[in-house]
Amino acid sequence: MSDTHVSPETAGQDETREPSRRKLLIGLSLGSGALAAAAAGYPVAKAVLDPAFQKGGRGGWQRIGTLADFPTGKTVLVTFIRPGARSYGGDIKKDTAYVTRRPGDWLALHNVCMHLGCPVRHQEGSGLYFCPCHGGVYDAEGVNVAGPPRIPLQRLGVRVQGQEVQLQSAAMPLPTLTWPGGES
Amino acid sequence: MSDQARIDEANNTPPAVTEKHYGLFLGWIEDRTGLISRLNAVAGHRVPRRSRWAFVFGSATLFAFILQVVTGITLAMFFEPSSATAYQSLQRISTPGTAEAVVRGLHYFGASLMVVMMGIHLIRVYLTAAYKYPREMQWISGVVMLFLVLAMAFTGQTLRWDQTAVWSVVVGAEQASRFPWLGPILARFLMAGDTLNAATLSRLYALHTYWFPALLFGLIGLHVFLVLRNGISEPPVPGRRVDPRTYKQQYQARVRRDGVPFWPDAAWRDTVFGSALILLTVFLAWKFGAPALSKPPDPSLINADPKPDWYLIWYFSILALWPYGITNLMIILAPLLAIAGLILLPLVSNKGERAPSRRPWAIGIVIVAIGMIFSLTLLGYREPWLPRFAAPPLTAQQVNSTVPSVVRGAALFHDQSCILCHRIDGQGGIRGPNLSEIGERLTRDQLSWRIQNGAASMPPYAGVLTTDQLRDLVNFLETRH
Repeated sequence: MSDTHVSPETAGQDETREPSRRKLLIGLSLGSGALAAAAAGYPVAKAVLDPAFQKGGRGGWQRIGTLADFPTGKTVLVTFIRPGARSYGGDIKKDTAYVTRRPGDWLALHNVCMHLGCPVRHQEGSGLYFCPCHGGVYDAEGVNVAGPPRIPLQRLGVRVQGQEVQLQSAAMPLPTLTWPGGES
Repeated sequence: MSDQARIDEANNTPPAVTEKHYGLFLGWIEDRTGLISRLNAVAGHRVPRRSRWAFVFGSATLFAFILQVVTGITLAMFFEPSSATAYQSLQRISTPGTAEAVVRGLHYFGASLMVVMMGIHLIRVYLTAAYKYPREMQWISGVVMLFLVLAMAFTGQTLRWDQTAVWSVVVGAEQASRFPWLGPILARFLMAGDTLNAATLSRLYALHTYWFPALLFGLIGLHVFLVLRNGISEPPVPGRRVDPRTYKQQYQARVRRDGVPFWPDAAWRDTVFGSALILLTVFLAWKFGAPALSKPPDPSLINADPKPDWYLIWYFSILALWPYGITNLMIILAPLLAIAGLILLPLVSNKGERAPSRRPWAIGIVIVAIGMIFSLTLLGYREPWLPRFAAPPLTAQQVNSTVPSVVRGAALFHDQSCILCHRIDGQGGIRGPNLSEIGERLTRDQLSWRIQNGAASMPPYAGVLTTDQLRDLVNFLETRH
């Protein structure tokens, strides 16, 4: 190991005699390291961060039943598959909505409380929707009427093709940022 | 001896100790690694004499962390981080009577142990102002670890991948999404997309088992290194003020004069206390096993009542109780203020008195904080805001009337969801006022007005009830006294 051994005197001389060489070596070390880290880090960072910027658009139309499943005036809980769900995801693919057939039109409310995203529960008699997490209440139209929620339940599209009822599924909407006093 | 000289001494122990000193095997190790003499130097470093039982909570947190690492790795050998099969693998792990179930119990109670010990350690350090010069970085690294441990607690709960876990992820992501601009990105980062999906669990698993522990290992290393470098703080003495210009010399002088070697004179308390807690955790894990799983992680099972583990229940209560209009502001601002306040504390106040008796406001802050967390936790378990969906209709005996309108009103009280939040004769929810004697307090007009207009947490029933129904309901309520 004598060839790598540097005595204190020569070390001092190296430092004073070849400042540009040392600068080059430092630059080379840090530069090559940075290059290698960036080259490997780019795909890693992209893979980790990509989902953070994905925007789920409107999903397609899904069959949720036939006209016979939706008696007029009755609110029915339907299960649909989240748009873009991977087939191997298990039950996590599922999502729910409350669909009400009314004289003349349909109302479909995505079952996601607009306070913090818990599933709400429809009450037959009063027609109100109650959230079990922090006690939010929505009226039969899905409008927030009591408790923490600041905005109405999200409405989903419904259409009838022959006898088949279809729902326009949506990704879980992130609640709109609403500030105190703001219109919500 | 200056501080730097002390470090130099520790790092460059002269090879005076030879193989003869240590025997053949340890001597070989020492010659090749130098570790034995360094460990001896660390074990023998002098600490203040009066460091008593109050100083064991930091090391107890470390004991709990080591337990979590060992049991966590063991669980990872059985757990399947796949959203389709995780729940089943957890059911397997939780089978009563198996060693895996005990390990899961250890990991569960160990998490509680770690959170509690960390909390007491934080309070002790704050009360005795041990964060003052030169230990500011110890405090700051501790604060970062505090939030990492809470992040571990949250992600750990979600790895149970039962119904509660799944909705906890949603609630967590929704909260994150309230953050201006960055929020939706954070929420999507947490869920690995716009909604719960197959990659969500994998991501939470990677955070809980790789990223956060890696950060914790590094920060614990820094924290312990700083404790060794700056020395264990002395128990505060009223009137002995911290002055950055003289503190280090005075500390060194005092420790040299009447300090004791860390091992075993001070460390025996750490090991005895930490070991006793581990034994307690083992006892709890044997006795109670793994915590019960809730229903499967199927979002179409909507009868959910998601709730965090006990150490976050207080925050859960806050979310339900804040004035609704400022929820967004508080979700974002309060945690930020808490983080900023904790991190800035030693930078703003790093000298002066350390004794709690001379810092009454510190005692006050601790009492208020503990009182708030304690009462909010109790409230969180009572869940007054939770609609009582299962409340049965009032019985004829409870209605205690044969007047048709009153009987119809009593039925409406149940069918129109009033009973979800209002209690009559011990039946129903507790969010709204108890209405058992409402007939004595309010007139017919007042009752009608309240029912029709609602309140902040009560929906207005105008448009929901017909005039006849409203009359029946008021007739019924009037008879309550």
